[in-house]
Amino acid sequence: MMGARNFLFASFFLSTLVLLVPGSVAAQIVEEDLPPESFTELAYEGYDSEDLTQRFVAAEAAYLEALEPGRSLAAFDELVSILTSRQEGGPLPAVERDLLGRSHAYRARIHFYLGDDAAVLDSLAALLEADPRYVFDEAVVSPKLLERYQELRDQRLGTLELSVEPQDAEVLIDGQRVDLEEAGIPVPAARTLRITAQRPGYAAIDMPIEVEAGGRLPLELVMERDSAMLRLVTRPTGAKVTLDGAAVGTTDGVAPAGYPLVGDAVRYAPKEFSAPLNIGGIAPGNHVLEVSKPGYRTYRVQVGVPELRDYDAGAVVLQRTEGQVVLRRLPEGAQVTLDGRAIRPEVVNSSDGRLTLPPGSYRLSILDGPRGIYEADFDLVDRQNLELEIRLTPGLALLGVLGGDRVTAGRLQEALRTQSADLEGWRYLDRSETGQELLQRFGGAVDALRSAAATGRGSAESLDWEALQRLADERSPAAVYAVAVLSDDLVATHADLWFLPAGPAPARPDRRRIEIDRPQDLAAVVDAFRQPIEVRRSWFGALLVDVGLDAPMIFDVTPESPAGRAGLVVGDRLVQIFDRPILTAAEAWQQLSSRDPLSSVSLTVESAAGRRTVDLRLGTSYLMVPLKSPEVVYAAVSAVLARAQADAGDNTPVWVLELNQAAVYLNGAAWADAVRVLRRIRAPAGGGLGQGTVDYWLGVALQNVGPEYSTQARAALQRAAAQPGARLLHADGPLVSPRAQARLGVAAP
Amino acid sequence: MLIIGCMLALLLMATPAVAQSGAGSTLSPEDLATSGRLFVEALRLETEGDGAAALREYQLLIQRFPASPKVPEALLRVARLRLQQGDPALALQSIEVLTQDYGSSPESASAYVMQGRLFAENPDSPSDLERARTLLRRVPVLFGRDRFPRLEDRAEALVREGQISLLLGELDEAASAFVQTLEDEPPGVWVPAARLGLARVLMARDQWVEAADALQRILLEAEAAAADDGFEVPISVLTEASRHQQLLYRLRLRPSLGQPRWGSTRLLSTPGLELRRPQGVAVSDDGLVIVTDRGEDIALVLDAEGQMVARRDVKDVQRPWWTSDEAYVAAEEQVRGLLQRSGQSFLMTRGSSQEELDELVSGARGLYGQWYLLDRGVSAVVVMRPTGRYLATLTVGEPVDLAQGPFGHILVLDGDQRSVTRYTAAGDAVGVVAKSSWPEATAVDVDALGQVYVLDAETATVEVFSSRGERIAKLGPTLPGGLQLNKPQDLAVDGFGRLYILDERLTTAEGRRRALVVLE
Repeated sequence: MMGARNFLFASFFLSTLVLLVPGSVAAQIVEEDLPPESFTELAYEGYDSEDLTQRFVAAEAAYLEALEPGRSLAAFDELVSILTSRQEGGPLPAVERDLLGRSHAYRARIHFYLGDDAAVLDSLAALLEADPRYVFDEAVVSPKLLERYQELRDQRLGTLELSVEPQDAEVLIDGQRVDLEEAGIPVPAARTLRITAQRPGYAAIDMPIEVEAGGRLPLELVMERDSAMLRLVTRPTGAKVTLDGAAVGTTDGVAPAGYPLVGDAVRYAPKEFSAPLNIGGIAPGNHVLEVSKPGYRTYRVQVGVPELRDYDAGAVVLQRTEGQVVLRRLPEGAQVTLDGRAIRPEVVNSSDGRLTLPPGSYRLSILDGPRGIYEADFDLVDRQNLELEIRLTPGLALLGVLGGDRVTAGRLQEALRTQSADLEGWRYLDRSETGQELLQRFGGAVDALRSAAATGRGSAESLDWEALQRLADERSPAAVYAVAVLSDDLVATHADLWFLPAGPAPARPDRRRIEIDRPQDLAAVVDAFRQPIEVRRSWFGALLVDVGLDAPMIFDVTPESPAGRAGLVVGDRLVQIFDRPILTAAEAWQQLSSRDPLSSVSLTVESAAGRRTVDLRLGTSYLMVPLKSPEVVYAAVSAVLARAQADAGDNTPVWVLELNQAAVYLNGAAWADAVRVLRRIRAPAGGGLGQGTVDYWLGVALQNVGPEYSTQARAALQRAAAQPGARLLHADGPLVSPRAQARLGVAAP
Repeated sequence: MLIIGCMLALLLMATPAVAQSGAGSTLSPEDLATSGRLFVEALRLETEGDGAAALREYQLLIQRFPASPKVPEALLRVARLRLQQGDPALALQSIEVLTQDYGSSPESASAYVMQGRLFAENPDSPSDLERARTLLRRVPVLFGRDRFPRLEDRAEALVREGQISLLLGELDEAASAFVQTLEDEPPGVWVPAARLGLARVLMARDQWVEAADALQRILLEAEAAAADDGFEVPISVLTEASRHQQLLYRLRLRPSLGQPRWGSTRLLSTPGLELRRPQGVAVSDDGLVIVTDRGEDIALVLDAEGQMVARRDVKDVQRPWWTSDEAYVAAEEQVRGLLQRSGQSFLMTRGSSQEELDELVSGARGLYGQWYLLDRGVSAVVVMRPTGRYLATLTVGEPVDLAQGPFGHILVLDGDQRSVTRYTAAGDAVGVVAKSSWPEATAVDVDALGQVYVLDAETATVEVFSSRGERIAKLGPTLPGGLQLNKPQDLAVDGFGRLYILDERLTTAEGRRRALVVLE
């Protein structure tokens, strides 16, 4: 039956082949050319014990539920056929041997039901052959059948009364293991059987026996010790064991419950250990026992064997091979991945984390949202302690180049990668692959971005920048995200680069246009990232005005400024800086602002009293990033500020960093955020950049938040107006007070 | 402007049905493409200078495809073309359709700005300026930064609003608008104008150091622009900033250091004219000079270097004055425009009778186009409408001269009361801003800081009063450099703070002569 079914399957398969294979070759492959037997054999090899058990259960169910049990006979026949065939290849596993016996038992019961006595006897004989210890359930089987079975047992079986010394030896009869607990072991009678006893440390016994039908054969096997035996268990299982360099086995299985563990092993449950491995054939003397397993340190011990007996080598706990990586200054909450898998380092202290890893080569990646990214490749060997200083570098992630002109897109992508490769202080990340999905969810991005670039119209109306920022922060975090949009789908001549800062910075993008054929355009954009923010600049401290003369005139001198300390006074004309004649204020500023803070300059000034030279030591002033400047990529500023604020080594006062952070918010019209930051700033009072500056911008932000804040806005502006020396962006910048008064003039009282 | 306003009202009642039906509906892809082609064709025609053909194409697009995304820009271009053609009423029609039916488009921001400009450029009254300001104020409200981060029209609207506030003398409003432009708007072409406006506010508040700072930043921006590192600064803004800086240097910095305002003098020649009876002098902000001579009945227009720009024979020529685009002289029976060679006479209404003004000696053009005319015959300053019809008479004892100052203010020198009275641009008296015991006060002028200059012929001196009426300086008869005034006739001050005095008997190293002396 089985062979026929497989034959049908094969026929169908071959028929299909005939259809597919063209010409005369196909015509040669026909069903009749192949003997059915070949399929049968192949099919039996494909079964395993589980398949057979399922078949048995199905056959049993068919038997018990069928009105006519005879119809399930075929199923048991097929099982018997399969198992018998498998038995020809060697002793069956216990489960299959059991299945074979029970199948014969069912066949006997079915034939008995069908009244086929000859077949009953055949089945019972086959049952005794397969499982001499099989016992029918008297409650469900006909007494007549039981009677016939007992008659047959008496005719065909004898009983072996076996004892063995040592008692833990393994005894096999015709290759089948026997249970020594059993008082009398039924065995086929009237034929020669091979009995084998084996046990490590003893010489094996192998001898023929024969039992008469219905008779009893007492047999006592006393084994002779010929060597010492060593027993051990390992944790984990699967360890290779060698003795004096020769492999003696591999541990497997599970130690039985209650297995005696000593020493370090008691920390573990017995089930974590292998089944005992008994090593025999050991001569007296010293031996080297070695237990090894890949990924674990090899356990090696010298054992002394003084005499021939059993020794317990104990429970061997193998230690993993591993090293440790200490992550110095690991940002709290940072996302750590190792070879692409998210991991959670062990916390060492408030600033450090630790990884314990097997030896190998690793790629470590640490992401801390807008603050930056850290990536390192390292090799770790066993017992190594590696320390890595985590210095985050803000990531500039390209989310994609949009537009149909893929050739130009590829060129641009490559150019971006090349130009950004050595971008100091940044890590360029090509996230085009993940970015594609984000940009698809951005929705109609190409047209909308082109339209926005063309009209100067903004973000919130047609493009949900906040959603893109949120998605990118989740899926592909970096400090700044870049999206390039080509001008045309066929032949692009230029591209717009949109830069979006990571949250929580305002989701306001900066746009820079580059001509495709002007590499210097892209270089200029990349340069904007090199030093996106200056926090200090030289300070002069005097107002130079062009009044139509051949040198700028000093209109005002800030008290205690470098100019004031150098003795410059209102009415002086600045005619020379070092040897360079100065004709305009612009020339003077160009000279002065390009010099380092605290550097000295020689100035020649002229007044009604004549010409004189003064040596002036420039001062230093903090800077606030200018608002809405086309030269500034605010996304980059935001990223650098976030890093500076997190970097304890940065010497810039917190209030300067926060003021600049507020400037980014002000630039992005994120008024509430600007208010939040400005309110907590405590800057120095007095002239230049300081609390007056902070109060002024706080007033501006509050005015924009809404009319309900007009009182607070007014108060802030009044504080600003009351600081006459305060300036807007720099100590040489515009005065705060007049502007505060200007805004106060129309502010609601 | 009144006419434009009336036409606008009529048009509002008859907004075209086409536009009303347009903005909300959808457009098929084919129609979208067709409308795009129409727009491109119209644009081509406009670029090539064929305005009439371009108009036809734009109109076709607007009527046939009112839902096309190109319609707002088409309407805006139609309005501009109509303005170029000198038809503001039709321009306003397009603007109205644009702002009403396509109100959320950025082009409608441009439309509001254009509308505001139309009202502000030739105002008839303060209400025109108010109306213009209202329209301009809509732009930042309706087109905020949250939706339109970069909108040049918004910056323009803010600057123009500030300029109108400045004209109206509302300094707080003006300062606020300019500061918003500087700090709330992206950098652009309107930043220099905003800085200039802020500087003018600061000058008016006498915060001259801060004003100089703001002005200097304009020059620095211009330098940066020249280095291809910023937005180009309009030349008009640049020259005005430069002028104000020199004014502040001369009239504020030097006095603050104890130095004389004017440290040197020079004589300005009158090429081709030997002065016989010098009568009057006027100087524009940027230094263009008008000199009149009664003996020759001639008016000369000179540039700042003394080169002749125009020479006109004017019978009975009296004193000249400048407006932004014309040089005028009073000529007893009429007012003559020197550059456009125009002439206009005026009738004054007294009760039910009308009287011709035939002894006109001086005048000024008001902020709203009115004529302020000093007539010796009626011994009054008569205010006439732009059309020449009588409007009012300023109550002055014995008017001798008048001048126009900042915010359109009119200053009238009263020889009888020996005082100078200031009137608003609308003709309302503000108060006396200068008073002294001049035996023969003969001329008055005012500078960009609002300082008043009064020339007394008998003492041959010039007295300078602050805008608040305090006497702050006296000059003459001996001038820096040794020149001496003997019979001064008229004076003027330019935007650089330079003082011009016309004297019939100026004592120089070469002797006495009739001359125009410039104090710098």
